[in-house]
Amino acid sequence: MSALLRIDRRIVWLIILILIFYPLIYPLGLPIHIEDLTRKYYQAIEDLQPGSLVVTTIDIEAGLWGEQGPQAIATYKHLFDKEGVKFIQVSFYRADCAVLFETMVLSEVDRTKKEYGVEWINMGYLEGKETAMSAFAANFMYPTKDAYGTPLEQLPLMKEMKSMEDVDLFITVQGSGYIDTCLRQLPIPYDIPTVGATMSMGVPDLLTYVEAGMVYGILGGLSGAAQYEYLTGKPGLALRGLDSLSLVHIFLIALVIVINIVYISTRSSGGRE
Amino acid sequence: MLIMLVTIIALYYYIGEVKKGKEVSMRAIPGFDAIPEAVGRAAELGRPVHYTPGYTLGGLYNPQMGPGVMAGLVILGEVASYTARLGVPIYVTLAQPEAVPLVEETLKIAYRAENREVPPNATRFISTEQYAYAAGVLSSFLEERPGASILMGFFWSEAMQFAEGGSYIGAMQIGGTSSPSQIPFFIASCDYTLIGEELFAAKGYIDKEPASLGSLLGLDLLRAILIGLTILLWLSGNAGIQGLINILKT
Amino acid sequence: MSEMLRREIPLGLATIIIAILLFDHYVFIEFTRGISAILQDWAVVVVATGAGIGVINIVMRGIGNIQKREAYWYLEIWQIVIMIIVAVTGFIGVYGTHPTYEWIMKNMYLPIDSSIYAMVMFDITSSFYRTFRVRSRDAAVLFVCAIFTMLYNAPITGGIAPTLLIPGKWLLDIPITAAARGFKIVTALGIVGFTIRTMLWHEKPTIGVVE
Repeated sequence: MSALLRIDRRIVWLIILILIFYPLIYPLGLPIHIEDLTRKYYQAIEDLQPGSLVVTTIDIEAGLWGEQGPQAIATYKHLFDKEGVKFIQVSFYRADCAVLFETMVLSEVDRTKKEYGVEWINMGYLEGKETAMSAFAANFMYPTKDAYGTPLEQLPLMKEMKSMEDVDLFITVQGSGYIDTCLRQLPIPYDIPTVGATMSMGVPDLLTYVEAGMVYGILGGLSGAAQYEYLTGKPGLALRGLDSLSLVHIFLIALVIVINIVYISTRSSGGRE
Repeated sequence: MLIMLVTIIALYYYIGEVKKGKEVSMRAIPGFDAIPEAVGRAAELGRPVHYTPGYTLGGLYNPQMGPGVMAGLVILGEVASYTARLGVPIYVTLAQPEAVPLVEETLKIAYRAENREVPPNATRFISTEQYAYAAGVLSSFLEERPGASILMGFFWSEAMQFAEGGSYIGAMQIGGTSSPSQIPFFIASCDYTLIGEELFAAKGYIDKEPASLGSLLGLDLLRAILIGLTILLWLSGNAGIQGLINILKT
Repeated sequence: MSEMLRREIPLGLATIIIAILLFDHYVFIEFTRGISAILQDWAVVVVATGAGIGVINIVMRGIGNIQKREAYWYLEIWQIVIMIIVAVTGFIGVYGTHPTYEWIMKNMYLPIDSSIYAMVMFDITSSFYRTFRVRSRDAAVLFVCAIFTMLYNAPITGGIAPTLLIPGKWLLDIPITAAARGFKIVTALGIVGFTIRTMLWHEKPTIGVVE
């Protein structure tokens, strides 16, 4: 039994790999629980009325796509499905965030549901971090052109959306690095209702804003994305991955409990660790 | 703005007091005390010391992450002076190209003070991309097999990879970051950890200069004011008095 | 003069720039706002120029390793070649729209980046079962908190035993959030002190002035 205390890490990794891949190939359909904050995130978008104006930011880098990609895809699918809701999409974090939006998000949504320039605009990546955020929040014409090089004055939506003051909802899909900066510059100075999707590690950061009443809903990691997909009725990669997530969690909990039982009994019987 | 002004005044006042001879007692920060031990261990093993100040988005210009990396560069001066003294090679892996001249200058001065040459390839810019940087550092672990790995700055998820990678090759590790989400990983895998503000207190702790110590005292005063204000706000909020809260909101 | 160039001038510049940016943050005056915007634009330019220094560092190191036939020297050649291809294709046309650049980003960069991030899983799991051993009372408390937090994060828990979510939710809502807030405040204080010390010439290494 004390051999468990010196278990080769590769055995643990192998078991985890099996637990990850098996449900992806043979879905188990394990039960899912919808968290309050996920429901609020969903409800904030679902309750948008025709004519509502939304600003979205997608600021996740390539490495986080596995965890946050499903969040982004589910969110933009939901937005494209909402008739009459108009939005501006922008990225501030890095240039490849805008590339990810173009190549990975737009290829998954039904773009025929909204007319470009009238119901949605892609501003692309704006260089300048906080300065750019602050300038953009004050004046949406700041970039002068959209992501495709079209002058903004030629796009009809820009007559309705001039600054953050005109916005009804702010949605951000962020890694954990830029949440504070983004919230500080964009929705908070203008008192705009906000919902945020982030990595599971970033949820405590966003929770401080929930407590303060500045953020209403959170999607946390792959689990949050899966719950959101369930609520929107559009199952995707996140729901498929949820079984793997559950199994790995349970395995690790069981492993560490068993190892500690062995550790305590070995110690109390005078054995060596 | 009031808090900023209070901070500046407090710093000036306490720097003056310490210069006049005020005694300052600091609690021990094991992470800093372990730096000579880590360098000595690398010397005994005949292996180099690895140092990295972490990763930022947008380079040192980033207002949230830049100061953490800058603090790491300050600590590098101390580490380099130890490695120069003991003749231990050091290599610094960077994710910020604009930090390359800073690091080169720091190493040059530290080694010149001990009449030694800076080890070849000591300053290594890896990449501005997070995981390319992580992969570069991990591959350097496998090639160089450092005896000590000092991770001081701002880190993201690569913190876990560096800490475990260093543990895998048997390096003694000292980790310090101002990133709250990565502290648990350093605590789990490093031999010594610096948490949050300890990183920024490095200069005061190590060189004990009046200016550095005085600024720490000034920040302690500010901390006390903020704690008092928090308690006051909590009491007034519970009592239903919104006046103070409204004043601070403006 | 060279000493002044190395010490006083960079430190003086840093003090003036920090003072302008600090003042502009709190007081709205059109004149200083304009200067502040220009300074921040220049900061972006300097950081972007720094990329050139990084490229020089990589190329010189790579060439040195190739000449000395250090371990894995052929990978240095590959690194330089791919760097040139990505740089050239990135510059052609509107940034990031060249087909080769898009192909590299979508089929090479994205999968490799995601894979290295996914490797964190291996590190976390091996650290997890090594670290959470009940060696002391504090370790026991940590262990219990970790179990409840993991149960809260496991999607299946809510489906089969919702009661087990309560301790984890309490941990996340109260102590973890409070600690996160406290951590942010003290880190911000540390940054404030660090910045003011830099402005007052007490943190010279940040400007590359080492004594």
